[in-house]
Amino acid sequence: MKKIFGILFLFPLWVSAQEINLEEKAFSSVRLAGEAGFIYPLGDLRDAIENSYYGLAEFRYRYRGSFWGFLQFGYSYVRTHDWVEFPGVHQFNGRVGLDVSAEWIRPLRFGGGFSCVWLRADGTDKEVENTELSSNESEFGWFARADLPILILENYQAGVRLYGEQIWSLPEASTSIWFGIYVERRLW
Amino acid sequence: MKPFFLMILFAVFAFAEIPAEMEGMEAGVLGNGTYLTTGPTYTFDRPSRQGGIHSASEEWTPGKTRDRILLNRFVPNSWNVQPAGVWLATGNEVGDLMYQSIINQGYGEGNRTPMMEVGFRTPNYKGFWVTARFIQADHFSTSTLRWRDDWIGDWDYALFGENLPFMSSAYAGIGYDTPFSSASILAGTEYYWVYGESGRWIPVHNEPRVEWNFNDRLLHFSYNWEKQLYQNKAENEKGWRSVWNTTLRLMCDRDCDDPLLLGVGFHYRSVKDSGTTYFGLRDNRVIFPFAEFVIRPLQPLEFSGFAGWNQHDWMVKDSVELRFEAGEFVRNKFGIKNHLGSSLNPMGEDYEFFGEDTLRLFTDGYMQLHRLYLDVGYVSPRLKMGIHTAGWIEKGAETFEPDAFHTVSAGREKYSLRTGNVSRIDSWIRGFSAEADVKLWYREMFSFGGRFGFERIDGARKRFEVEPVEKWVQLDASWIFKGVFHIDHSWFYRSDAAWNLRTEEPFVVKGGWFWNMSLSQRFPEYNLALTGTILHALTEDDKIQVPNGGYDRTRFFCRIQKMF
Repeated sequence: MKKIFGILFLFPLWVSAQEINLEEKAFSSVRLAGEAGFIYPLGDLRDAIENSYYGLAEFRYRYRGSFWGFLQFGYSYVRTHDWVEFPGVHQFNGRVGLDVSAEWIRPLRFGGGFSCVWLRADGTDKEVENTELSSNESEFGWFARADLPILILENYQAGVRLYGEQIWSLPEASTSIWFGIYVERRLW
Repeated sequence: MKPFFLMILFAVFAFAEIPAEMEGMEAGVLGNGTYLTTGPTYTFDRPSRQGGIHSASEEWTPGKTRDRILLNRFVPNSWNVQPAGVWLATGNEVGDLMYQSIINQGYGEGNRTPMMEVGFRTPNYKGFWVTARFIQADHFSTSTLRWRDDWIGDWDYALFGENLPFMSSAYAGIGYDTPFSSASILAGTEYYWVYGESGRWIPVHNEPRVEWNFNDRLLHFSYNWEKQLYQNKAENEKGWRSVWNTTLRLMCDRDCDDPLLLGVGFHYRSVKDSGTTYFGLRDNRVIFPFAEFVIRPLQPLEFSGFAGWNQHDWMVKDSVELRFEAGEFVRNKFGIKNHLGSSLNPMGEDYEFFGEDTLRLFTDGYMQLHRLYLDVGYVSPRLKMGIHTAGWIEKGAETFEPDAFHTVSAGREKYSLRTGNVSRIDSWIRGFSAEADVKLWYREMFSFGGRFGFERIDGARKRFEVEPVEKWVQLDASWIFKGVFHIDHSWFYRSDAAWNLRTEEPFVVKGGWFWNMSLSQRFPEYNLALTGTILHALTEDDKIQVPNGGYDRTRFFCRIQKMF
């Protein structure tokens, strides 16, 4: 978790380089997107769960200048390895964050924020009786992401996104990489 | 170049306005003294400028008209009506196992527990408004879960979930505002746990709680009624208690520039018990009338104070303060404060019943506390500095005289219970404190604050319920980007504190560092804010601050709030 603080210290430096129109209002442009892709768990988690698919919806809005804010809500069915007593886990996730771009890297955007994950084991009562995931469990964490729009039309964008996410679990933090494709519609 | 350098400096040294999870948990974001907490219903909170050995929560004052009384302490009330808006918050103690539980079966660190809040208050419509709020903080709850479950034999003690949270409360109500006054009626239900002087956690279910309030500039009225259910299925005990609380205060509390201000009021509380209710009030009622005053004969001189009395108790608190300037930027204060009384809190419970024993929570005699202080301050457009020194003496300080200790076990944990009575330290305690602070800011973009203090106390220290910390340091920094994105940090350190009378051997709370941080995305044009807050990020995870309390863990919560 301490890494996030390091990044937060650098963030103000990055921000200070941005030109912002003070008269500008938030939500001057708003987008809605659907996104789907794969989750690749890292570290010890690979012993417990398999790569899985995810789907999510994103609400993205212009915050100030080249800063965009976003909210996400998604679902993934995460399969466990055969040795685990239950076949899988229902995973819901939410994210809130900010993206920023600069002239020299446009259209690439970088962002980050906080994540929340809700888990509940899928299986019969007997299969899940020995796991903490038999009840709803939730935990927070943080993520960083890169967003590369590939197709940019007036009202639509499509592109790819790469996330690195760390959930503040114990005894180790749970880290994963997410890779997805999105299609975004501009509402205004 | 200079502003850029400052920008880096302030981005690294962060903050100021970090929110706590809920009312009663403010101690988690305070660093200027001794703040030992175990959830929203119990905190030992003693700012180092207070003087005396008690905590602020133990002390009755005329202004605490709406705080909750839990046993013999005042706790900020989560039923204080919020400004018009709609809000949602959720959070968790950091460190749940999640997927790690599959590969680390048997890892005995215990579950982490959430907090949640949802509420709204409508804008005024012809003066009328409607509000509702649900708030529950499960933090600090897990390490005592097994014990509390064994002791009451029931999980059904929350409006949501099964973590036996220390406070779970919901209410709804209507109100009416004029430009000069406001009135409201609120009703709801709640579960909470009271930390007994015995060391037990006693669950209470208010079904219902009803509160009436009226406030204007001069008149403050609050009335609440609680029908409390005390139920212990394991011990087969059950009791009902109706509690009526009324406060009336006639005193100017805003725009009061008159050279003479006088106020009167009373605080009334009565109970009706049936069955087992664990607590007792002498005569089943207490009324405490009081009078207060502020006199400013000359602009720089102020006398203020209050006095209250009833058939059992009396209390007098007064102060004299002289402000004087030396040059354009130097502001100084010199004063004396006196606090005398037969009880710190005449409204609290008088007895706690523990099996065959009764703990007496009042005692004979009186306490006297005298504090002399000198504050030297420098204020300029970009810099503020101050040095605050004080000396105080106290005799008759309230303490607890334990007769016996008992140990109870639940799982791997052991808990210490005690019997005995409240008593006094009939010798002089002497204290000297010094504090320095500095605050500087650059426009509305950055501010940085540093404070440190120390306090030396001499006297019968081993008879203090809590030996306060001797040294503390706090560093705050805020960075506000274009007025909309806030990064606030607060670091603080405090030295050891010790609970001497809750356990057979002193329970030392080791000192250490705390780091709180808040990030807030604001949309002032829409009165909207998205805030994420991390509390106690540098704290050792297994630290317990109050005997029989829960672990003080790193916790994160986020909040979205739209104000109307």
